[in-house]
Amino acid sequence: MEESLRSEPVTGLNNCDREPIHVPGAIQSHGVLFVLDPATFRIRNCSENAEKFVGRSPQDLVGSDFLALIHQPQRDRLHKALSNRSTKRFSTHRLKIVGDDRHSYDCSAHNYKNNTIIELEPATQSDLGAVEMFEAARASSGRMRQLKNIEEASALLVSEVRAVTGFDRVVIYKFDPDWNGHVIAEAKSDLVDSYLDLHFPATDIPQQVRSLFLLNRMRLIPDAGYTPSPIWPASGPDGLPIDLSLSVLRNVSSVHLEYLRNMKVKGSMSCSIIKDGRLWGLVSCVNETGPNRIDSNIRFFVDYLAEAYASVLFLSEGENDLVARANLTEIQTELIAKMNQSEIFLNGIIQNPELYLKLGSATSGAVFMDNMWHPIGDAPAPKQLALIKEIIEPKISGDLFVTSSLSKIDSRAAAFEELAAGVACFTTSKAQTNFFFWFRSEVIQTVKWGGNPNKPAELEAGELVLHPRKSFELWKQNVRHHSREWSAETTRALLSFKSGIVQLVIEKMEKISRLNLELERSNTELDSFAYAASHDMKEPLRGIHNYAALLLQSPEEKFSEAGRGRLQTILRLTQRSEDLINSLLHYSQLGRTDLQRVETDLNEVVRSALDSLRSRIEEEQANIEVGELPAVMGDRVQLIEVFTNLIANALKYNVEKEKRVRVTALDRPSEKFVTIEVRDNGIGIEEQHHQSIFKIFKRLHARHQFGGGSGTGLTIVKRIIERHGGEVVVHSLPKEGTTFSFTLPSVP
Amino acid sequence: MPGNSRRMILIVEDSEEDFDVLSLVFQRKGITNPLRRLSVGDEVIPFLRELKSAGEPLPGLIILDLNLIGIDGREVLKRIKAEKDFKAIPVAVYSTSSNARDIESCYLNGANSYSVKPVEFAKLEDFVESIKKFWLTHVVLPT
Repeated sequence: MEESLRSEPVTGLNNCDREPIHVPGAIQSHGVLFVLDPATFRIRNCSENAEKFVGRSPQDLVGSDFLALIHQPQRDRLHKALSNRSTKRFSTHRLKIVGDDRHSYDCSAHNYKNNTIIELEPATQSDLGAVEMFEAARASSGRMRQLKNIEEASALLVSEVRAVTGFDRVVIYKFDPDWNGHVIAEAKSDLVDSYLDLHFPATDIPQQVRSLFLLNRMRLIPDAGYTPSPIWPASGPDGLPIDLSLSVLRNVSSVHLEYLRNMKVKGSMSCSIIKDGRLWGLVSCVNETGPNRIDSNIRFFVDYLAEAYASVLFLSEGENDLVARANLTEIQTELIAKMNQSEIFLNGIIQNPELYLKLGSATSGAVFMDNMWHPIGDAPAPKQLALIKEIIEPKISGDLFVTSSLSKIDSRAAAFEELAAGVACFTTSKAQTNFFFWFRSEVIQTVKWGGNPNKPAELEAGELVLHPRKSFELWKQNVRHHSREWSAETTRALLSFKSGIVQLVIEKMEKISRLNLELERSNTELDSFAYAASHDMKEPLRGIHNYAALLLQSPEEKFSEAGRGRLQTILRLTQRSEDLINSLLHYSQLGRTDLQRVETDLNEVVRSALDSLRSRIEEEQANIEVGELPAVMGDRVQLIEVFTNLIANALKYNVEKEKRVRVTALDRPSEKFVTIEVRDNGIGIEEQHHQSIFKIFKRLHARHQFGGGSGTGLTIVKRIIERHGGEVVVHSLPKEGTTFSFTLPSVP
Repeated sequence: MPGNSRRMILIVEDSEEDFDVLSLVFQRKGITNPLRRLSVGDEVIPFLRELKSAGEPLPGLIILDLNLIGIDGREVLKRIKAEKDFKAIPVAVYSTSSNARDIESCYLNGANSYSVKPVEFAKLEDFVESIKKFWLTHVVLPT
């Protein structure tokens, strides 16, 4: 704070920011100022107008005992107060000067920077004494503290202050984050214009003045037309000018006086409203009809009430924050719970769009996941979403990206501002594959400025002298291309939602890997079970078969024709059981043996498959066409089985005169998998059976038709393809033939 | 070879029915060799040792099932082939298992043949016929 008050040479345009306003070297001439040695109370400096008040020239006064000037009994009281080292500020009323019975003065004293500064102002004819004023202040602030909302408290503050001070216009001037001012409450006489809802540029109250307002909450200019009275001598014993930061009579900057004159202000007072150690705003009081001097009792009242107002602000804004935060936490908890309940957690969002949008107080949203857009609410079109993602993607560095004006970043975004002027976005993965978006539509806001904010100050031609703006005519500005700002509560809620999602993803992944492990174990167990069971099942089967065969063969047993027939059936059934058991055994062995994944030429694989089918192909005189096939990563023996099964089926379920089978590869060289098709002109498969044909022991035809079979061929094909990481599908219409299409990993 | 038909055949088989049918088919095929059956894997080596110590002739052929009560046929095979006195005896593995791993490991452990038990009776007859023709007729067995 002190640092920012240090004086610096005036070199730039913003000389208001640099003007050493705390050491103006003069005071406002309606009062008189004495600088005392804190130990001896001898006068070190005084304002040049002292003679007018005490009848002695500054030259005469400097070095003399200040207390000797004061009439009893105030002299002793003042002496006592000044002697007490803990006193920082002290004021007393109705103080009289020795030898002057007609005038009385209000006295303010404070110690600052090794000086005791005494300021005297002629007492005004106040209606109320100090005690009454204190009571009034206490009553008003008590009423204030019962109010919970800012609007009511603001209205009370301006009306009470105006009633007590009589200023023409009393307003609450609230700073925005960029230090522009906004008039949020006003009490005024009919004689002056309203400033309510006007905005003022930050340059109107420069940084240095704001710093001083934090230090000294009250600024008084009873008569803007005053002539300053210089301090004599100009500097203290340390050779530095007297620091008047805490003075009430401090001479204000000439630029400010010019500003007041441009605003037609004749007298003013302002009192700082400080919230959380920050200058939140001002109670600003002005008179346009004439000067207005406010005595220290009334200043006390205003200050007291402004403090009560700040505490209401603290409670109500703080309370609103808490309530808002609690609501958002509730929404987030609910949304995460819904996501957790859904099989696919994205569904938790898609099925609860209102929760998702409420979390970001957004008009619409979108989720980009697994290369797919999932718009939520009235979101921009997919093409526009892609553009938004393109704009934002390089900018998401931290946790959350927010902007209230995307078109400021990239003008192409202006095309869909009515849907998404503002964007909040985060990604949950380092690889940036999942994005969560919230959009806020454009809010066309009309800001009423007290004058053109783009011309806050005017330069004198060729000189580095700044003049404050002259025009305070209403100047309207439409703020376009903006959404509502993203509040701290919202960004906090979105960030917390993000960590919720990350947690959820981790939990889901853990669950999936646990399930996979269990699945793998149970598959292995099932395979071992099937293997062991089929072995053990074979033994009794063999017994049944052999004994039935022995019965049938032995001449001493006399069976009727029917009896012999039944024994034959037993033999046939045991053989079929053996077929089934062998298939099951084979199927389970596929899962028990390790896959040899080596580069395998499918042309050679198909040749081997055709070799094993040769006799049948020749018998049927089938037309087999094999296109040029790629190499794949796979187990040669198992792949031969795949083609053998598929080609055998193609011939088996075929009643055409010329049976045709075509084996081709789809030409997609760049992909990780190659697609192979085995097409026939056979009897085809009804759509309703397209899934079930892959089930073990599933048959679509009677055993005696199409040469029978165990019903495991396609099951084994599917298992082999899937163990290779591929997929197999069937495309078929009855009587039009069947195409089995499957994928196998290509050679990297 | 003429003397083969007098050699004892040891059948290691835990299934009563399989043994019953097998011996019946042996009989039908006119195989007159004495048959000895053991159903517990652990009994095989003590049985052979007893023959040896009593100075009696060892089996001319062992027909060995793999799934047995007690130690299984794979282990019995290893033990037979690990003993100097017995490793010369031909062992014909006769098992339900068509598992490639079983087949390979049996040969590696010194099996002299490996046959998969058929369910079809005719095939069983074929098998026995082959034993008769090969092991009991053409082959010169160790003494």
